[in-house]
Amino acid sequence: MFMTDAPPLVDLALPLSLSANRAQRLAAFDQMVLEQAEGIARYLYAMTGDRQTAEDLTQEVFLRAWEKLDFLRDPASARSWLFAIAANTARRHLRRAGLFGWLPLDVLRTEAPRLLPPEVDASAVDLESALSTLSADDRAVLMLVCLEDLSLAEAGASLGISAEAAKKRWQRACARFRAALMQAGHEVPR
Amino acid sequence: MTDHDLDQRPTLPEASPTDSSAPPDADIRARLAAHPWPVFGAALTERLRADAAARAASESAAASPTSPSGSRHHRRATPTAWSRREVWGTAALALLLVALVGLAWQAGSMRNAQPGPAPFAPAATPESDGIGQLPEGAAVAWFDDDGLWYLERGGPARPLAPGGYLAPRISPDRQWVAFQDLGGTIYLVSTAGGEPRILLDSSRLPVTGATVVENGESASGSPKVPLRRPMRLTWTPDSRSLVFSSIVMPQVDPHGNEVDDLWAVDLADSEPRRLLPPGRAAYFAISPDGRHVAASGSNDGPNTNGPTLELVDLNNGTGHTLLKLAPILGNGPTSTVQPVMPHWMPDGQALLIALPKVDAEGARHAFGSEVELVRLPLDGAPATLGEVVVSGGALNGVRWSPDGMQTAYVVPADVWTSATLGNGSASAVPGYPPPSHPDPDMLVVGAQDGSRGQVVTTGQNMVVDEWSPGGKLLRVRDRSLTRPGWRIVRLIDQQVENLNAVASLPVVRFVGPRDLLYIWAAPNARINVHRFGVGGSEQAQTKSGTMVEFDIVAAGEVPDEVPPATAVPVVGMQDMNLHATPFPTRTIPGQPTIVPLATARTPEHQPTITLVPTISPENEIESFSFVPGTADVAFTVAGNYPANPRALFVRYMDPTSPQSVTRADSLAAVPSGFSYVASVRAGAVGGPLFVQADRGDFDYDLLPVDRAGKYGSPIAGGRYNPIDFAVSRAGDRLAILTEDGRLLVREVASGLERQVGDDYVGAYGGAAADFGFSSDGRFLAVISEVLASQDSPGGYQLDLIDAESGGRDILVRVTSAESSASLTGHAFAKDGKSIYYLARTSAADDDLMVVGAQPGAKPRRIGRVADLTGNTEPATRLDVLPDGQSILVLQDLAAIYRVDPVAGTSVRLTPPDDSITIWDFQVTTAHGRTWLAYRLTRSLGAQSGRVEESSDELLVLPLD
Repeated sequence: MFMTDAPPLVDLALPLSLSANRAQRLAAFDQMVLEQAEGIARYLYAMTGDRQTAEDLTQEVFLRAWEKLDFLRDPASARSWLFAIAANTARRHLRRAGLFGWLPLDVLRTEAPRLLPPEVDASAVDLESALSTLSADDRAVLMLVCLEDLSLAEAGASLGISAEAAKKRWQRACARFRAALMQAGHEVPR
Repeated sequence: MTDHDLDQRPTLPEASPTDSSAPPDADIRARLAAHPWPVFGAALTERLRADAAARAASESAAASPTSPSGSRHHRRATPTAWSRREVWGTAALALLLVALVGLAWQAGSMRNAQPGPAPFAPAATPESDGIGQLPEGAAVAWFDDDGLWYLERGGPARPLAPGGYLAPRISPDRQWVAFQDLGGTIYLVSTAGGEPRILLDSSRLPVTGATVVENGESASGSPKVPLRRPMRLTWTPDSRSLVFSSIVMPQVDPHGNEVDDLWAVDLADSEPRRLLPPGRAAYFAISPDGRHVAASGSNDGPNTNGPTLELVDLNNGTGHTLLKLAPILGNGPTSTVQPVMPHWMPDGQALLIALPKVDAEGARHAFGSEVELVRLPLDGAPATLGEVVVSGGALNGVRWSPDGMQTAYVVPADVWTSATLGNGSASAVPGYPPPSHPDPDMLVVGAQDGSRGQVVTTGQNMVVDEWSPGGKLLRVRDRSLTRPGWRIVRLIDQQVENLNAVASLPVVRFVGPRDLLYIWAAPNARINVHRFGVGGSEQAQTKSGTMVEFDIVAAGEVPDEVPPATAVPVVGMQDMNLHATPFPTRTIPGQPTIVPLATARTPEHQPTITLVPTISPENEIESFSFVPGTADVAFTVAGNYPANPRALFVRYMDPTSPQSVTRADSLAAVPSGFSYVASVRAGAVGGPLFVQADRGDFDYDLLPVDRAGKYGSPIAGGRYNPIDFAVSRAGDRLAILTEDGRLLVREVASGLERQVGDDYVGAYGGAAADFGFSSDGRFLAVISEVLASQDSPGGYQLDLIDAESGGRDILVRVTSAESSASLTGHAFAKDGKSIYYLARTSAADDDLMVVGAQPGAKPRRIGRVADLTGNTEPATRLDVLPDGQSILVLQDLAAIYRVDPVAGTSVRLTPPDDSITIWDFQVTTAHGRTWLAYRLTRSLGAQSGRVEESSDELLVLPLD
């Protein structure tokens, strides 16, 4: 298990700002990598379902972040900003790869026990397969809000939609995720 | 159906998050948190840190003191206050570099007893090439390591001579190819084959008027070492003679100058004829009728004279001086003075030249950034056509098109903007230069006299290299440190149609009336050619030093790489473009009924006209806009699979033919150099649409596109990243929001831009602004995010901006410590005197507000959307109907209501449907009625093999 509450980047405010010199900014960027890389990679894994792809895309996210560092007006919101880049990166990847189709849930359910090594919990497969039934948009907002603990406003900003639209997606994603879990035989609160 | 009371809101499937103290998604959070996600760990972290360190090191290296931005900063500050010494110094440095490169090349050649492979030195001069071609594109000749190859269009490439020479020049009659070696000898070979013969040993040319320094000692007479090198070998139109200038190297001249003289040699007798003495012929141009040569040199030896323009009769060698410039001030080699570059009018009766303006003392010196364009008849007095300002004072920066009717020149951005505004002050132009390009140049194309200039692209240290023979293309060299290379600019009917870059190519040459583009590439060079107007790009990789030919105007018929000694493979170009792809629609059960418009009625749930019934889930409708004056709707599609259409489409409404209300057509492909079209907006009746297109990685540009689907030139041109924009109703003005939070107002006709705000950036690095013009285009209403600070909580504000003066007034600001304050939509009243908007100040309170469009106006609440809807989601979109009274509101992303604030009534216009999410709507008036278009995403439910697909639809609803 991991902590979803990543530390705020308040102490990075000065070095990330435009007034900082390059060395300071590199040090601050270094720290941002240390603190946020895991969450970004996790999010991208959830979006792509592939560890190697997630790592590659994480690299792309931080490359983009470095290039766009000057546009980060408020360093305290660096985390949301990084997730915005990650969301765009994931969207672009999915578009490019045409990965909007997902394996049918029943295939995963029937095949998983046979394919998985014994030490892997089948319920974990259920959860990821349930996630995979969601649309990319739904999955993104669910991961950002429920796993990465972004507020709806932050998630909306990260996804390029209004907070209201994010809220709507979040509500529907929750409902669909619960339905998928129920279909997989899990109990969910009503 | 009767009017709805908007209290009857649709029931959401989930309880409201405010209904319980526990988060409504607590169970999901717990499951996701407990899930054994993969741990990426230190290996990934180290990889990312190493990347960042490498990039930082790279940036440090690039940010050297010699960068263009640093070295030219003073010019930007005072563009009109250049001293001559500063100009001279800069020019001297530039030319010294060129001279050093040339000398190094020459020195290298001296060491080779036998001519070896010609070193490819594209940075030296355009003349140091290994390619030659006929103007009409009928033939091309080039050198590589294996030989001199000759190719007539459509035929095989044939070897004519051994390799290792340079500058092949094909005679206009295609009978001969002349070329030269590094020692100065000119050869001739028949295109029919046979042994090459020496036409002229330039070492035989007498060196008069100069002292020859040989082996460190002065001597007289002809030198034994080749101290001359023929330059600019040019055939006369009758193919009977060659004209060339000849560099007399600095060793010869006692003042250390590199001077030029002008020669002609006839094929008949191989006897050289001196046309002009040293110093008079750095540049020359043969008249179209072949009777005259106009030539200009930097000096005539001693450094006391300025350049002249000479006219020589090629038949008898007589001539006279057409004009003479005063020398520039200061000491130093006069070879740094740039000669005049003459351009012949097609009739051969006049020359076009660029000259420095006469200064206050009445002298016309050899250098000046303010330039007069002059028409110089052979038998009359010169006439000033107009004036331009050119970058760096380079007279040669002005290039006329082959027909003499267009000019191209490079102007510093600040000077151009200042001059265009007419106030003479660069500091009066907010936003220039943009921080990302601190010291840009602008490439301007204008009329023969330099007037009516249009900025076609920007760059740094640009030089206009060449017009294509047909005048449709311009080759521009960008000498910036960050993006050096050549660019090709395409012009159609004297209008800029498109701009594309051909970067990092050693030599790019135009050929032929159809403006073929030949590319001479170094071995193993990777070539990217972005095609015009059709999207995509071509790529080729040479296997050896060879040539690639692209026809960048005509589709198809594009020969691939030309292998030596084999037939030219003429292959069909793979159709990279996405235009004219039939728009695939997928029918779902319940195909909407096309409603005969004659009987269609509103209000209430009148069946809508489905423009795009349901597109495949792999596609998204990203944006739409009514085409002004019609009920046609233009929309953009972003395909999620590469093979799917990503372009600009239009659905045409035909209200007179109810049985065929709509028909679909693609309007334009993804513009060249872009990956997809993201959004579309429209302004004037009959005017262009404007699209936002993505170059990749969400770097956008804006382009106009006409009704024929032709794109105009990109507006941002890399100067900024336009992430959102609005068009005035008259189509004459754009408001552009840049990624770094600036708001620009751009005049469509002139291209002038004014920055009217620089703080429209949200807390997350993206824009938080929603903006639009008043109906007369004079004012902008802007909703933007207010960042929280120590002094005040965050929120939103509504600004009124005068698009002409840039004046800004904050009309409304709402803030809330609970982060629930928002402004979510706005619309100008029909008379433009007030602005409607939606405000939320608490979690359950949306107000429909109106405020006068003047400073200090007091907002009034005219309705409560909360009362109408139950307020689960704030209303997000607002518009005023043409009656000036009814207001449309998008509520809950699920329904569009028509609200009459005066009567206190409301009508739900869209049928209840829990499976849809409405994202946007737009209203227009056309064909005597009012139309509503809206875009939605419909959940399709579980399909076989997939779960929860959704699809986008675009619908139109007549409202009266």
